[in-house]
Amino acid sequence: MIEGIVKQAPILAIVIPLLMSTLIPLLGRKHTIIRNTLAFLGPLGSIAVLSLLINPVFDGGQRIIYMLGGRIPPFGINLVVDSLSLLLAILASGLTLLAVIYSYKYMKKYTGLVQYYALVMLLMAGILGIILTGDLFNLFVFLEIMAISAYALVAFTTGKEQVEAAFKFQVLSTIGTLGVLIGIALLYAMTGTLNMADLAQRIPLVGQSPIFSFALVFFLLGFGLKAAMVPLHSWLPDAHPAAPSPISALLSGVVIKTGVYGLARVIFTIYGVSMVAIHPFLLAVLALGVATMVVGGLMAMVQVDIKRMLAFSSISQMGYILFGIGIATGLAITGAIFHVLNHAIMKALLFMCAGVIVYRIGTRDMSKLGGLAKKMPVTALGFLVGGLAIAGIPPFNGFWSKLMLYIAGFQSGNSLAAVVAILMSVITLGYFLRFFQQIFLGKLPKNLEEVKEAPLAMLLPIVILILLCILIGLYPQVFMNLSQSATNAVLDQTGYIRSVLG
Amino acid sequence: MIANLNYVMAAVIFTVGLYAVLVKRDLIKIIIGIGFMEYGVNLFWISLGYRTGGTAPIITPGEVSHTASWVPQTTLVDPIPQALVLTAIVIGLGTTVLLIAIAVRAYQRYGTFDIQKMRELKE
Repeated sequence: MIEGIVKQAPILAIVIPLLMSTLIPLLGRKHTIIRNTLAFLGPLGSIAVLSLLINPVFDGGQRIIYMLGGRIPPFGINLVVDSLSLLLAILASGLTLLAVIYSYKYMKKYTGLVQYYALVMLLMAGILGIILTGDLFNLFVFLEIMAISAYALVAFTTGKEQVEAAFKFQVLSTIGTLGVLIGIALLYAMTGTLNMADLAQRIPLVGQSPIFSFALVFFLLGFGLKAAMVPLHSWLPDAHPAAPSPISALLSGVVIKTGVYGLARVIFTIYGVSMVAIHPFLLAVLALGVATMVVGGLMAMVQVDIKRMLAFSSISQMGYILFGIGIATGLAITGAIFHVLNHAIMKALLFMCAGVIVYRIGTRDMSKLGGLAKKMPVTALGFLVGGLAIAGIPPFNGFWSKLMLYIAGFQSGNSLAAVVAILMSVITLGYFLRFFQQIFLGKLPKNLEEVKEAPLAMLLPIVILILLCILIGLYPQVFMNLSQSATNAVLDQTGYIRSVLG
Repeated sequence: MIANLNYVMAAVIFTVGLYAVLVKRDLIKIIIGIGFMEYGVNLFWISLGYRTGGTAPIITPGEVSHTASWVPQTTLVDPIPQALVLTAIVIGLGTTVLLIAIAVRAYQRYGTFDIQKMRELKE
């Protein structure tokens, strides 16, 4: 029984949330409890089946290959679970689980919640599909599944702001996915295959061609847009604040990370560093990464809307991750992957704290807030921990990943970029402390005297995330090793080819 | 030139769509532009699979001896891009429907399809 589940685990991880997204509208209309349970079981089931793979993948260093329909690669679609996929898949399912728990109370006042939970499950299935697939066209399909549910979730409350943001989000994001599709078409035209391992094998055989560079540019455009890379970031500060807060946490936590994941897969697994390094492509990623962190950070400073500020801060942190990918040394990629993990946790925490304010007070305008620390101690603590972690202050988790990125920057001779990265961290600390002081300290406005702390269902995910921030900060070695093994998996091109094609 | 005409057309259709998305202020025209871009990419995909003088890749039972070394007698077009484009068209339908749904909502909220006016109304 267990053995059978282990064998089917990669596909089950995608199918379980997909199944829930159909079961919720079918069974969950009458009774809230059925709907909520099904929505809870989706991510929980995925975590359960994925955790069966932890032992062989992380400890054994294996890649689990799942052949859909039993077709031997390179024919048919196959799923590949390596350390990077597994790490991100568990992260995505875990965050979805927390977002679902948070939504029970937060979304209570809205109607159409059956559709809401169904969309959340669909979003999660799309993310897991992108992360686990070993086929490039399949990646595009899952990218669209994820994106379409994300648009619908942004527009979910159908206010003026939501509708406009969702439209902008969808138009720009569709251009991004079309860019990815053109890149895939160019690769297919050159090699005649869509399987990632087969592509990795055939690209060196075809040899140098300007078409490959051309395809790479389209991938950078498409995945860069998904990852909110400057100058393709303009949709994010509208879309992420407009979405309901648990969805903002998911969007900033994992959805934008899929862009970076796609880029890393294309650069390191399909092309291989040596192939990409011929052009100044990695330098471009590095430069755009630095630009992203600077623009995001500077724009975050001048915001008055708390969720908009967090959205710009997300852009800034995506810059750090792109910075790591652009340097492309082992340490830099490890730092980038570790930062993906850390940023997902702390940004989800921050968005959930902002959600408490929206839920209890109903405003996102920070200038109308003040002195809330007395009324909402846990939320205040969460915001403080998240802010300090994101600025890279020890002993929180962000410190370690940022430290790795700085060291990697100096070691690889990109001192200037590393100095900018450190400087932006200082600025990040500055604005987070200022906003913390504005919201939670100082004088409590008269109309806020009746404000209470968040309900338990919303506090639980916040407390879990606070503990994770501190725990990873205190015991970074475990997670560094995980990121290290993910880096080894993504850089080991020949191993990838061998384990898929046999 | 003639042989590459479909690639040129794909690029032209894509660019027309991109122009509409970037320049037009009407939501519906932007949606049409997105549709153009999608079909430009689809045409590109289909062109990749085309072989001059090729026939449909359908193999009848008498024709094939089930050995690995079997080579078709006639040129066949590449069926994979066709299957992929079919998928892309279906996805395109989904995105278009959602875009139109959002645009209709926007019209209900703002009373206009004009992006510029929406921005003014929001303030």
